[in-house]
Amino acid sequence: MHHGSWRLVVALFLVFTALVVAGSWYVWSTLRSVETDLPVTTISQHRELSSVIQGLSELMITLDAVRVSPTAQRWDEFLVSLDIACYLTESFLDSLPEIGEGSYAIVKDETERILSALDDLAAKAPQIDKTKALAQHVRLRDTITLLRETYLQANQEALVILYQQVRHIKRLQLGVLVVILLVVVSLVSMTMLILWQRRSIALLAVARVSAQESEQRFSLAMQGANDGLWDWDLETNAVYYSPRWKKMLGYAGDEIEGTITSFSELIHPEDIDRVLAYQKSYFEDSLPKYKIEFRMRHKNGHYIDVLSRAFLVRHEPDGKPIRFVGTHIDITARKRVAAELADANVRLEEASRHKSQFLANMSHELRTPLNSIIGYTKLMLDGLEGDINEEQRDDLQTVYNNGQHLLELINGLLDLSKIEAGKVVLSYETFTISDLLTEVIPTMEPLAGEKGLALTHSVAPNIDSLYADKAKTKQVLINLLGNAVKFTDEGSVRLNVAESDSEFVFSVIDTGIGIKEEDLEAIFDSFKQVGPAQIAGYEGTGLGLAVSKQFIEMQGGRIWAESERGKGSTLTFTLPKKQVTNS
Amino acid sequence: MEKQGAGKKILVVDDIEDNIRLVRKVLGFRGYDVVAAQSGEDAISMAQTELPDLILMDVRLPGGIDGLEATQRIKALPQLAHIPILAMTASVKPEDVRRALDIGCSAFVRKPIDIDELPKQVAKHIARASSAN
Repeated sequence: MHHGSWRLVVALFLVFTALVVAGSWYVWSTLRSVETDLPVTTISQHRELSSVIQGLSELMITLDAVRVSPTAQRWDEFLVSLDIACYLTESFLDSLPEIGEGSYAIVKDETERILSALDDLAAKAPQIDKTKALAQHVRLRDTITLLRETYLQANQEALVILYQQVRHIKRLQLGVLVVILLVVVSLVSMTMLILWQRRSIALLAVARVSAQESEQRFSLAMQGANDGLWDWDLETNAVYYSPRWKKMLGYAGDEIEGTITSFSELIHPEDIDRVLAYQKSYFEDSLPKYKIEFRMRHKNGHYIDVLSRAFLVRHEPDGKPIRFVGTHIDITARKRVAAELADANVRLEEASRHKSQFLANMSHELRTPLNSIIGYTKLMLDGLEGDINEEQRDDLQTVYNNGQHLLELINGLLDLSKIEAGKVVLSYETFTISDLLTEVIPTMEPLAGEKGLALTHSVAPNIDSLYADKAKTKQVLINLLGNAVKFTDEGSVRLNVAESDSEFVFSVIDTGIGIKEEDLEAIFDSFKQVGPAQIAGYEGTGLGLAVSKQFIEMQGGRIWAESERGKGSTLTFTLPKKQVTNS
Repeated sequence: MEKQGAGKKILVVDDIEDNIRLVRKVLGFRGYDVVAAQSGEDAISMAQTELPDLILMDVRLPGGIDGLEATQRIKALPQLAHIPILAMTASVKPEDVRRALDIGCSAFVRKPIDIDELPKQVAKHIARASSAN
């Protein structure tokens, strides 16, 4: 493109140069053609000459009048016109150049001769005899006639020359004007052309740099992404396939022809119709973007999965598609992994379902013997089958407590497996604090009473109702209070309910054995809890705390423990204040 | 021990002998006359011959007829439909509980049974059934 512009500049320059040369030659030749040897070459000379002719004509008229009737008056008139003719002739002679040749010289000589004759006549006239003068008159008249004719001749020639001169001058002026115009036009256009050229060169340079950069980036990105590139020129139908594109299908550099057929022939027969239909709807603008997966035949005969993404380049004014460019990614491995993952997921879900089912069944099976263990022990403890001594009572109580503990473990295990399987759903409701406490506190009172513990609770004023999962909150409270009562031998267990701007805060404070600092977090950990290394002195908490932690966190709250060894523990949980929703 | 159950007959249906014996003891001490069946079929025939005041029905029973089906069949008999039936199960699934109540059980007793609670529940439902008649 820029080569063409330079050629244009050069051509214009040559044309202008030729025009200027031609114009200059024309002006020069016009000037040359004006050079001549004629005596009268200027307007002023022509005017002088005309005056002389007129003066001579006047002189002849007065002379003729004297000859017809030589009165004193006519004689005076003749003398006056003689003076005028002398003056005019002298004046004309003065206007002629000093040196001359040809007709010019003749005119000059004749004029000098007639002038001296006229001068002579004029000098003698007042004294001469009027009759003699008549004789002289004929000669003088002939001389004047001759001179006048010579003058007329010269003047006619001069008129022609002058006319030519005027024409030449006009042509000259025109020529000069044209030359000046051409020079100005050429200068302006050359300047503009050069400026435009510079600008387009600069733009071109910028464009070239950015094109190089983007090409470089693209090719780097392609290499990095391991994508194959194809570029289909819809006007010539030529297709460029990048080396990576070919390699993906097992082909080397020149093994694939740059036509669209070599592309479509490699698409799986089952996929080709779908691909063509997709491309058609993309060309018709009914798709936002071109992104399709299909299979292509590898050189070795097997098929690979390809993800093809492309975009259409359209010709600006008419929107005609001119270029279709796209990339290929080999997604065979990805698809295989995805299929395997989906498969594994199905198996996992099945396994998880089996596990849940197994746990549910297992818990049923485990409960059945516990029915007898707990039931019969309680039967004896209640003294329904006769009196028992103190030692027997302690032993039976131990069996009973452990039976209860085993039952709690089984329940916790089931809860955790349900949480883990995502089967626990929250069911929110609005309930009052006093309702909740009425359901919880009485269940704790018998054991606390037995141990002689003070079980108290306090609720901050203004707390009325809350929106939460009541059943789970209740289970957590029972769990925390149960543990507190279980691990406190003397003193008290207190439940505090407070609130901040954003949450309710439940604290269970006991005066029991306390928790070692390193165990403060571990007691909520289900895996550690069920592991072989149970937390010393705190065995028997079961899985209740792990379940509680899950239930609280599911509701968006937090749970933690604080303790001073030997002085007691405080277990606290929070529930965020939620808006009542209709869902 | 007050003899609140005097003159009242309870049918216990459970496939495990130990469980029957426990219920028999717990209720027997309170004066109840306890009869037992170990299968669904036995439960239906015994309900007809013994005409108990209340039936304690274990949900899971071996053989063709489980506790829920036995309950349905008993409830379908006009002369037995008034007898309150308490379902017993070790299952903790909420849907099992709901189903038991849906088919006509008066209440639900969770296993392992609480021997302090059981007599209270039995007495309550017998009283409720007799006042309804």
